[in-house]
Amino acid sequence: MPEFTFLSPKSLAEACQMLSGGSGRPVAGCTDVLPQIHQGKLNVERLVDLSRLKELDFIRLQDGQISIGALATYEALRTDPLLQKAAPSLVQAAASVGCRQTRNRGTLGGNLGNASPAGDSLPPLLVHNAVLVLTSRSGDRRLPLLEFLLGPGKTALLPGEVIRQVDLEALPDDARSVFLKLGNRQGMAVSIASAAVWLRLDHIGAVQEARIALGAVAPTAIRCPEAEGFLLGEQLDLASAAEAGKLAAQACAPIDDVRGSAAYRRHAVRALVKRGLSNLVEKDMRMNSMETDTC
Amino acid sequence: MLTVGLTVNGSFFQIRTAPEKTLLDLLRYDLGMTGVKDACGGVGECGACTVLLDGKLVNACLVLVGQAEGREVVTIEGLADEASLHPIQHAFVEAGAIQCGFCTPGAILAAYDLLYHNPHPDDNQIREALSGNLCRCTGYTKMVAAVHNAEKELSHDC
Repeated sequence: MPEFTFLSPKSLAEACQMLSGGSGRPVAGCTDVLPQIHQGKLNVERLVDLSRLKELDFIRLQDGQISIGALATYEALRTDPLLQKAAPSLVQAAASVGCRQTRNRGTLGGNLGNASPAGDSLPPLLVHNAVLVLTSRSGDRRLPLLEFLLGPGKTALLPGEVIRQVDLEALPDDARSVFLKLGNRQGMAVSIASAAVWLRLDHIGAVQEARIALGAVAPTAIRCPEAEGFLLGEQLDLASAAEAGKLAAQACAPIDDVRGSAAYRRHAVRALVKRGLSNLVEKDMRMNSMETDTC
Repeated sequence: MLTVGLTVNGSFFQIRTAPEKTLLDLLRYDLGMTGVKDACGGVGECGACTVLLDGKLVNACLVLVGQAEGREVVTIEGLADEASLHPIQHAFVEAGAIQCGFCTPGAILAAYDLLYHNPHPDDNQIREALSGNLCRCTGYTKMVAAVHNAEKELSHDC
């Protein structure tokens, strides 16, 4: 491995100090950074290790808002009792990541900083309208996740800044959400396509609010405004779920790569969005027409 | 250079090492614990370097030495006592869940971690727990059987 220096700050303030020159790279679980360094895809001079900063390791729920520290691991997200109800799609996404070894080390802050289009936490965070808190020597700033993600591996994080925490809306009692992922196999798979769907129905079962986000099918994880807009006021059935899937597939901009072709990814998006919608309404609405899912 | 102090299988070690080394390098090459294996070249894909770090299952290749400072590590060498194999090791041998042996230390530690958290797992939970440990010989069926056998053995001990 190429040489670098390794710094181990004792506090967030000290970490910001160490990063202030702009040459350091903040790291935590290293599940993405070390393979990238190993494979020569990433050059680093100094790593600033945040993994001992207890102040960044928390999951809180207060007044309908979830706050998650950047150091929360996937395993912490998967097993947190508050999140099971407040962010079930994020729990499902965390459970789908890698294997136990990876989930014990990989952190939410790392998934955000790494900004892989296939990062599994990103679609759930997008449907929860996540806002990042970024901190540096000059203080905190807040940035919506959609504005933070700029491209594959590219974010709006400035040199000297650290991802401190993520704030997201808790799932309201009358809403439901789900995360679905297509990988080459069930364990240790990087997403070929993924989708998070958030849904709120009114008392007659018409869609009052829909949020749909996709992963691994565009340069960043994305929301699908056209599909969301189409669903407003709709009674969900096989046809409307399929139409939403079609609109979502039009919103994406997938590429051909080792995991799948662009055409396959578009097809997968249609199926995942349709399936996500039908999964959510099947839970308590006995929609017979939804049972024959041919995608 | 960094000086790293850590406890491995109950013994304390202090080692002067380059910061770009990983816990895998330190255990395998500095401390001679060759049960910690490198199969995927340090990219966290294969699980052959699986160890317990402060009681948590991790790939040692993805932990930098500086991150192991002050921590407690258990490797496969720490599982058996002087006289006999650990019941999970014994179960793997009995079930023929070992062929080339390269994935075995990591798979046994993953099974150990599973049975610690969930003493009576079903087949799917065992498969999920072993999903980070690639085996190209056994096809996993014998490993699942071995974990079930170990489960029975360990619940007798309680």
